[in-house]
Amino acid sequence: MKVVVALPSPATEMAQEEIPKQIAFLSKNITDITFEANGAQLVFHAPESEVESLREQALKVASKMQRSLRGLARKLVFRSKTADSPVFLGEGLAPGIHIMDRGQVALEGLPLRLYRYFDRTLEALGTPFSPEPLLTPTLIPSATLVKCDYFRSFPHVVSFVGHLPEDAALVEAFRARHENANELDPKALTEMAPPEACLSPAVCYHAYSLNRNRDLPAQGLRYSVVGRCFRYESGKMTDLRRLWEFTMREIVFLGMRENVLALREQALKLVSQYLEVHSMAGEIRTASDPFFIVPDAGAKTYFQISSETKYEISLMLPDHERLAAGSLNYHTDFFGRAFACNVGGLPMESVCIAFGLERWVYAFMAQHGHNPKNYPEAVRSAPELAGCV
Amino acid sequence: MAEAPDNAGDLEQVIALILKVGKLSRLEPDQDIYVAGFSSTRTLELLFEVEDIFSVQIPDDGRFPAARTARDIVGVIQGSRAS
Repeated sequence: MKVVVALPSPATEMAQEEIPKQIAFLSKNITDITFEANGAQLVFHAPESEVESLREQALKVASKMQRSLRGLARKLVFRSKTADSPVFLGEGLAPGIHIMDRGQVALEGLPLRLYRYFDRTLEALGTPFSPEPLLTPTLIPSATLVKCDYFRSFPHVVSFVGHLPEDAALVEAFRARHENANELDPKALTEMAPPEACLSPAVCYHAYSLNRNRDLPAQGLRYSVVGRCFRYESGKMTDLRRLWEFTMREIVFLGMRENVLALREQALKLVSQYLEVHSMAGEIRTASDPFFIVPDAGAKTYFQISSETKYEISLMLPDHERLAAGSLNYHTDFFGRAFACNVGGLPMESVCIAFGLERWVYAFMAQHGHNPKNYPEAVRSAPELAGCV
Repeated sequence: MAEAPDNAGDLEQVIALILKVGKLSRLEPDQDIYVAGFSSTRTLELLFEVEDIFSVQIPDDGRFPAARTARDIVGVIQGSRAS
């Protein structure tokens, strides 16, 4: 059923992008969130039984977000040459992309070659910074995520790791119940020990945790990190655009404020060049994270956008859709304080340059299609594409 | 350097607001408020309070969140009055 919510004032362009991120959390049954009447009406679809409750909640959330965003406008820091007239030669679900289950994919053939290409070349993008390679675990201690404020900011996407406690009778009962069962016993969850670990939602957290209770050298530290990441995104997990399990490659800078911000500026130029070399239609612009609806979600969004702590690499898709394939994030001294890590007598400040590899594959194939002969020279001549051009 | 009377009054009021919103116990005029423990998530609340108390409209041009001391914030307020 269509739900129309009249807003106190027309939503700005920024509000029209940010409000749906929050509305989507109200119910998994909300679909097709849009704006009508020049932003004066928020419109979505929901089951009839939930309409009245959702209308009230949506108005509350939208009004609060509008007030928080004030007159903020998104700042464009880079726009690629092809962004004015993007061409789309392909589609999202190309041959070789296998949806195994919700938010889980297997790659083979051309998509896998492109995945490997982006992994190698995005790692190489960090070479000028001489980062220390870091292999991080897939698991992350729950205590580390507490320090990262993750359970307050993004509780809705956490994947917890459960296991049965060391209790022979309980384990035996579990085993016996599954003697002839074809699926996991729903009772199992109640028997799990409290999760001491989760699946990593980002790889850079490990770099901060690694340096807890340390005084860093004045020049700071730099890491090149790659790993599997996990974010449960409910009904939005349909294809490579939004996966439960995906690969994140990052360049991480730890140090003094001026140092890490200067490095982010250098990285910004490198990423801009990378977009041009690959003829990718896209922009780099200020953005915010999809904070869960908490009392201070609007305030966090305001701070992120107004202080330009997050630059998003926004790639263009058909039908005016965008895909955030990466971001250049300045965390101020948040992680330095959280992990008691100092440099020059002050809490360490940090920047991470993060890329979601599967999203690069999706956007690249959407723009350049499935025939490698049409690809930019840098890709056609890459070793990963050898034998298929 | 001696403060102009208006500036001194503004500075005192701004410090009082930062202490209240940030739940801090003390702050020097040139002390970095974030280093002193002011949470960035309270920046918007502080902005609303500043606008109410000083009857000004602070532009959303990034200068307010970039202001890191009470004196910087007074500068933003005075800039808003002038514009």
